[in-house]
Amino acid sequence: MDLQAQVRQAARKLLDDKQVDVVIGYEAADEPLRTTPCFIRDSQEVDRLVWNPFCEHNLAGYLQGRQDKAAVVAKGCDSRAIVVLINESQVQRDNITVIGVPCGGIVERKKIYRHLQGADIREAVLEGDVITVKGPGFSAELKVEDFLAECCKFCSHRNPVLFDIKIGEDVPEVDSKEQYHEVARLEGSSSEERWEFFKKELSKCVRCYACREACPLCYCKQCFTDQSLPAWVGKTDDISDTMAFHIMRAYHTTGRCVDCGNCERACPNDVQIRLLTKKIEKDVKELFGSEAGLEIGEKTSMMVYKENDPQDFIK
Amino acid sequence: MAPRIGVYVCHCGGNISEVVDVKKVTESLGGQGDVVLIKDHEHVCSEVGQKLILNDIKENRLDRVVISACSPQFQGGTFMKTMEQAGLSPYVMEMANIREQCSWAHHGQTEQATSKAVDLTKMAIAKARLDEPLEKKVLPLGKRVLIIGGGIAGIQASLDLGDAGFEVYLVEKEPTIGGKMAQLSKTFPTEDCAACILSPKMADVPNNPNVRLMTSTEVKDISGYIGNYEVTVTRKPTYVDPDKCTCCDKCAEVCPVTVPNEYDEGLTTRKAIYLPSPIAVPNSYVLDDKSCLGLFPLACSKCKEVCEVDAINYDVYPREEKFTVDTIIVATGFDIFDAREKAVFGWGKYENVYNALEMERLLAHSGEGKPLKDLGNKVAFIQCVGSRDEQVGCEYCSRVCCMYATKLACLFNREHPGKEIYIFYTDLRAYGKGFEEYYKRAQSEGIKFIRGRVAEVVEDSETKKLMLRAEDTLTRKIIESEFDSVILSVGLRPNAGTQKIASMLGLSRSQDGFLKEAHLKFRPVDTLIEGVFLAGTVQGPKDIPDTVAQASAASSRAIRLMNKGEFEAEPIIAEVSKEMCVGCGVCAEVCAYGAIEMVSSADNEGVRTAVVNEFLCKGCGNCAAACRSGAVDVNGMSDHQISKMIEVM
Amino acid sequence: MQEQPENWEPRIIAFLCSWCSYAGADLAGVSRCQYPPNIRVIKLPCSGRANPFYIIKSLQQGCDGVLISGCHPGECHYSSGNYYARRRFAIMKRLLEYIGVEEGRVHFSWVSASEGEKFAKVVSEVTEAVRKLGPARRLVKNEFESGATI
Repeated sequence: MDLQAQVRQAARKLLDDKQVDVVIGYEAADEPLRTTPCFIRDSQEVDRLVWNPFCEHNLAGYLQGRQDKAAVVAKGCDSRAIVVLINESQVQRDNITVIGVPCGGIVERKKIYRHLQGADIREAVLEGDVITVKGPGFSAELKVEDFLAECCKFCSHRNPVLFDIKIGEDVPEVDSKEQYHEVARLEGSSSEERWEFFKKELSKCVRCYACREACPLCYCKQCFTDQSLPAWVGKTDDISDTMAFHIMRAYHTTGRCVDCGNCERACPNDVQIRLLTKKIEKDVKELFGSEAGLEIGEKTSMMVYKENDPQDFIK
Repeated sequence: MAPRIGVYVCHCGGNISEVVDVKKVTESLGGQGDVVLIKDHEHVCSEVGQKLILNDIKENRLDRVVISACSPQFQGGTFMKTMEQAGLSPYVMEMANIREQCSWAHHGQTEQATSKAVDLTKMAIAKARLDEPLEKKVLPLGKRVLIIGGGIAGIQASLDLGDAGFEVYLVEKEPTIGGKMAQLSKTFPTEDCAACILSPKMADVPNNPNVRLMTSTEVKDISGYIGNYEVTVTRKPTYVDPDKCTCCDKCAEVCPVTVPNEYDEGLTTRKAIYLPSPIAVPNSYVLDDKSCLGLFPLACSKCKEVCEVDAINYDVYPREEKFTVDTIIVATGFDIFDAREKAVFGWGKYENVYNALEMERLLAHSGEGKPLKDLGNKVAFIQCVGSRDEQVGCEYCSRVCCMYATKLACLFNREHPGKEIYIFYTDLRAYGKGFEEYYKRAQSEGIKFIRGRVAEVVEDSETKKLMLRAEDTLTRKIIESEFDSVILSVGLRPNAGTQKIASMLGLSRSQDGFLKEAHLKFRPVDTLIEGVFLAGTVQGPKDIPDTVAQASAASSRAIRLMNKGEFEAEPIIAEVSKEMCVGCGVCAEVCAYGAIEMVSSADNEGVRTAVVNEFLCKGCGNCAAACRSGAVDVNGMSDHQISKMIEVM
Repeated sequence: MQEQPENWEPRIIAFLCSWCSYAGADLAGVSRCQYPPNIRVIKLPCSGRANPFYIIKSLQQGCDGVLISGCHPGECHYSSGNYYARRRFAIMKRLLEYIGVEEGRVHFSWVSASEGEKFAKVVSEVTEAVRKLGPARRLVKNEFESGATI
């Protein structure tokens, strides 16, 4: 039975046995190359559920603050986000059933569009690891592995770290040594070059906050940007405010971000905000030796300290 | 209603005005509607200056005061009193430091120093504008103390506090007080008989009218805070009424169950009904229900049948008792290192290898003319077993082993002159009063001290003698020698029960695992939890004189606190906005004082909110900096205030 | 070196913890240790009170430099505040420099209550480092240049 069928079977059983009130998963979307999150409450509808390399969303965000019993389809990164949410008491472990799926990586739609120079894709059919896209006057065969999202190419945890039901067998983990290559490239350039790069990149931001809304770990009742006493950062389109917002939001993910890529995917203007969160993730690993979302009960790196933490930067 | 701010810029008799152009400062502050008064003065802190402020406050209805003068660490207290005299909260006064951190450090740079003084004053005004008239919180304090642990530390503290008129609850989990000291034979360096000097102190405890002694009692839960610690203890049944028991021993004679005797470290046996130690206080037999043949249902009742004073009653059950105290002293003591972790020495395997506590008991028995074992003619002590040893996770020095080994060697030597006694040591630490002299005496009495670590002990399976391999680092020779007995000088470890108490009270541990004092030098018996003190080996390895000193110190610290009759808490403390809090728990985790509790909502168990205990909070604001959601802030030092101060730049 | 306007003096904001660094600064004054008058001090109870966002706010306001100073690790009056602060600062400093804020604008130090001379030395070093970089231009909010400002 292929993975998709196994997901459906698991969901059917959970709903039939009344173990959960809802199964949160992915279903086919109206547009090609996409899926959309779905909430299945009736076991008769489980065939809506799909599992394929277009299942990009981190569904963990839908667990936060729920009162009912929910099952959720979770990839590796999603499961780590769930661990963080449990550790931050936003999700009760007993109220959720994690359907863990091994993930070979998610296709980044934007890459395909860039490759086909913005062609009008009307149809996309996935067979094995090949996607056949069709549109008015063209057809192309694309290999999934050529269009993986950046966060998936060097993913450190392809297999779920937390699950109640495991779908399929583990996929081999990739060598994630290169996962910080984009950050490293920037670190290697001069301060001036970095400033110019980030100024240009972040000036694309229009403060729509889609990144914040998409992030499963952004759940504050009132975001710091919306606070006025004090007003931490202005809401103007002054590049200083925009950059300040992104620095501050990235800082709040310290020790928590699992690099699911939801934020960058949600951005309508293709701002490469992962370059900030990935830098912090690299620093947390180097400075404190920790990674987010691996163990229930683990305290994140900003909640603990070691007496010999690095301090060569302090006079 | 807008605040009415009064600003005073001090000349400080030239100390400020020689560098800072004070008049210019006052002129540069105008233009803010709520600053209704700006004055300069030669000596604001003088009586004249203070009278001026008092008068101005009355006449101009000032409700915020900014004083640009010396450091708040210097005259801050003075001006806070001035505020109180004026009927204002002392927390609506702000100071700008234009002396220590301006005029005195920028001599000859008038223009820049003046500009700095203007900025600093503006920042103080920005903060004062947002100050709230906070008031100190007062908590009544009674005279009730809980002492956890009835070893020598707990005993000393209870007597000090009882004699001082305080109400003491002394809780001890064993059936008798006395702790480890009661198991020692003689004590160094004086060779006093431990039981002899301890007994009278132990007897004083139940006789002290202010001390309520609860043995066979364990602390089940402690909640609350200073002045209001709610303690729940479990009183375990001993099945023997201590008021009736005459210690006639008839019950033990007929008891069919024999088990190892803990008091003698298993070297002798006892019955299921037994006297915990020859100097037990309460002086009564107790029935150990774990080794007894059975009470529910009743399997045997021989002890009860022979008891002539009807002291035995099987119909008792563990029961809980609750009481409230104002302060707590933790004196739960230590455990010795389990020498099985150093398997190379063979303790627990080889019959002639003993640990120091077993040796104490052997000497206690032989000292009374009733030897339990023949230790032979050649005896070795191995030092630093479980101390100064990274391999077993114990880097620290246990402090007492050098001296106790010397003592054990001397006592053995005195009983059995002419035997060969070796002590294999790493360093010989004889640092205390009389220690060096005792060590010299031991050497002159023929005890051989060899500087070198022992690699291993191997038993000859037939003779049961022990082959010891060690390096003599002073002669640089390897020693391989056969001994009749080997005694391991085991180190001191934090004891198992301590962790439970520590979690209950929110106490942290030092890197060595013992409980952490508030400040190693200046507050060695305080903890960071207000009202909780430490005494004895729970804080770290130490000998009896140091333990007694700490116990008295802890008592004095507790008395100092409770004598005031009330506890004043500073109002500059953290506060959590329920509306903003998402219950993530970061604040509670980083609080050094355990002042933040995550409280579950009544109707929805999954939802938590952080709640600050205003009496435990010290206002450091670490929680506020850690909070991502903007839910935690500090009254009197809020993010908004700091933000406004930054904006002055 | 950046082009510097005439008579420009670095404006540096300093967050000092009350028990150690602020007291150390007082001692510097009492001992008449002289140091550049460019810093403006905000007294915090503990370096652990310093939210790293204060640094960003200061830079946005146009501060040329930021200094945060606390007790030496192991000596925090509030036991562990500076340990947490150390981690926060490490992350924020790296992030700010990564995004292009010049190295030398944001500084951290441990100064104890008895280190008056050290305080003066730290302030001198920081002032010089900032002076070399010139007035802060990156991350400064220009309220008069941007579009809608409501």
